[in-house]
Amino acid sequence: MKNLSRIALLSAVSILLAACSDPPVDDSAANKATVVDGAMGNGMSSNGLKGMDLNALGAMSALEDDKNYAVGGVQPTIYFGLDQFSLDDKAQAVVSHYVRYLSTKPSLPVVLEGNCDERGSSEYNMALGERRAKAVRDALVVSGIATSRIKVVSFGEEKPASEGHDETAWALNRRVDMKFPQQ
Amino acid sequence: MRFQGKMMHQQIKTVIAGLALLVSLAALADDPVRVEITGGTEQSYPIAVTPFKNQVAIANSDYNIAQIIRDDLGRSGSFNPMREADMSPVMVAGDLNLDYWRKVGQDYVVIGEVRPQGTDMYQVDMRLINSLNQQELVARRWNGVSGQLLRSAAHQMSDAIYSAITGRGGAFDSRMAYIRIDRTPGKRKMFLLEVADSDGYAPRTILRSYMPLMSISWSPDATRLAYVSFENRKPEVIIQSLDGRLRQSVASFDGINSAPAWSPDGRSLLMTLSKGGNPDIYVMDVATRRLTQLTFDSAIETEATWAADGQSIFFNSDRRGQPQVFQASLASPRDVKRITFDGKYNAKPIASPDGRYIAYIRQDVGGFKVTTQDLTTGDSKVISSTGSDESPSFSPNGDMIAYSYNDYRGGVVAVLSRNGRAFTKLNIAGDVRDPAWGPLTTAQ
Repeated sequence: MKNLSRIALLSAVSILLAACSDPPVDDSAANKATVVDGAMGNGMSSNGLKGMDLNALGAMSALEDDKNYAVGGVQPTIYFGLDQFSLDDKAQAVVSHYVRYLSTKPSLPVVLEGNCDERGSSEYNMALGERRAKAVRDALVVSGIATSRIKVVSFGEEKPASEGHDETAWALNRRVDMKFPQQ
Repeated sequence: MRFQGKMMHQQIKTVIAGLALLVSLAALADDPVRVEITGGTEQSYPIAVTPFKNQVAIANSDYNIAQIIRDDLGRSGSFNPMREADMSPVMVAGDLNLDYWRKVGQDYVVIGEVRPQGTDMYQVDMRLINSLNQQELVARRWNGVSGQLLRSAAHQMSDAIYSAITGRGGAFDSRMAYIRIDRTPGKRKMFLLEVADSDGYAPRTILRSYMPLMSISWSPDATRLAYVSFENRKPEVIIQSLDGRLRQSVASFDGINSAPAWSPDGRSLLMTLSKGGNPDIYVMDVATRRLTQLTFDSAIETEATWAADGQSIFFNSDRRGQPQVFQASLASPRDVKRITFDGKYNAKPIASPDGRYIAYIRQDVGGFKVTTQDLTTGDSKVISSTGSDESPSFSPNGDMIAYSYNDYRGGVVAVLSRNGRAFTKLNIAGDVRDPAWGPLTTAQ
């Protein structure tokens, strides 16, 4: 009797288990997977973007970095101290040298590119880079260079001159580069 | 299934409970069973995600479904998944024995099965069972999943498990956008905009540039990205659709055009412009490109982000000398409230989707660190152990924060649980930075 009830229970259990082995089909879940497929198919092929030129952007802009605008053996770069935006004597000497150069080329435009070291948040550094470039602009203007000739750009921490992660590298990266694209 | 002696009664109870739940699940269709958690949010749930039966049917070892789920849950800081190496091979191979899992401290057990459905097509079942009360909390089938989508299906399983146990939304079936710097020797440095799954797998390049890219923001419908590009040797705000059909520069004024942040309703974009003489926050109506200025101080205002309700913004201003986080409402932007008081430098705020927290970067003795602040209490807490942190970004459910930092070999994208308990470097090789965590890929 005991065995019989046990067999009965077991068969009941196997029926239950048979039911269990097939979970309810959740169509919404299946659809989710399909939707993901669609999104990937639309947006991101493994090669990159659909219908867009895959050649890298900014090639001409990057060539600008290869040019050296130094005049008279003086590198047209102004360095700044940590969290500093004012020009020290060394910086002032570089500015004076290029004020003389710009005075001999009265129609030559000048681009001032402000840069920061990598520490701190990158968007705030973008603003700090602009502050540095504007400090150099103000020094040029005080020395008689017309504001209309000067363009100010900030690269924030995005274009380090040195790729290191120490004080030596950071000191080289806190800078304003003067550029004369029509030199 | 075999039953032995004393175990039988227990097993039958389990099966009957399971069947009752299946019936209710069938009736409720998409309404998952919720479990009330009374111990607060700081506990970590022990869970055994057992190897899926017939996992070997999937040739690619990157698609180990149980391991993907364990990694997801572990990253959240709310779960303590049992390592597969610690599981009894006998118990893993045999039929589900809840007594065993309960005895080894696993309150929750996940079992599953893979069935091939033709060439590179699979059906996957997943069940989540509470071993303490023997309730089945999730029983779901993923049908017709191609090999390429197995990881997405696994992330959907993680989200279902996460929701059923914590009562909060999942975040794993989502994407991470970030910037990669390609430093191949002998070639010019290149910047790539990439989009990967939220765990860093399956990266796809959607833009390449020889000039820097930064500051990615997702549209809330996950169809577009806004970001900053220097391709014309100046910072410009670009909007690009992920299907590659649209790419437009929406702000290229003189000076800074930067820090885009998409509004929760998708209609507006916050940005920093210095066309007025110094960096200020503006909001752009994306459809009309109409700009409204929101800050007017002569100091630096930048890094604006939306409050969860879209009614106010948080931003970074150094009007007190050093960067601090302030808040202003859109209705009266000149009424500015200071939010951060601890620490000399608090920058790059981001609000959690539930509106309760903000995260930002604080400079303290250990460097620049991801910090969270509870907006209801004002309490702030440094949660990272790295020291060059940038670009914090909340997961869609607010329980995790992606960010980047530098280690000896370059930039790393990592995920911190908001409670600070779990730290995970994402599986993204190379020099990467500036993560932006996207919305959930599919509605849950």
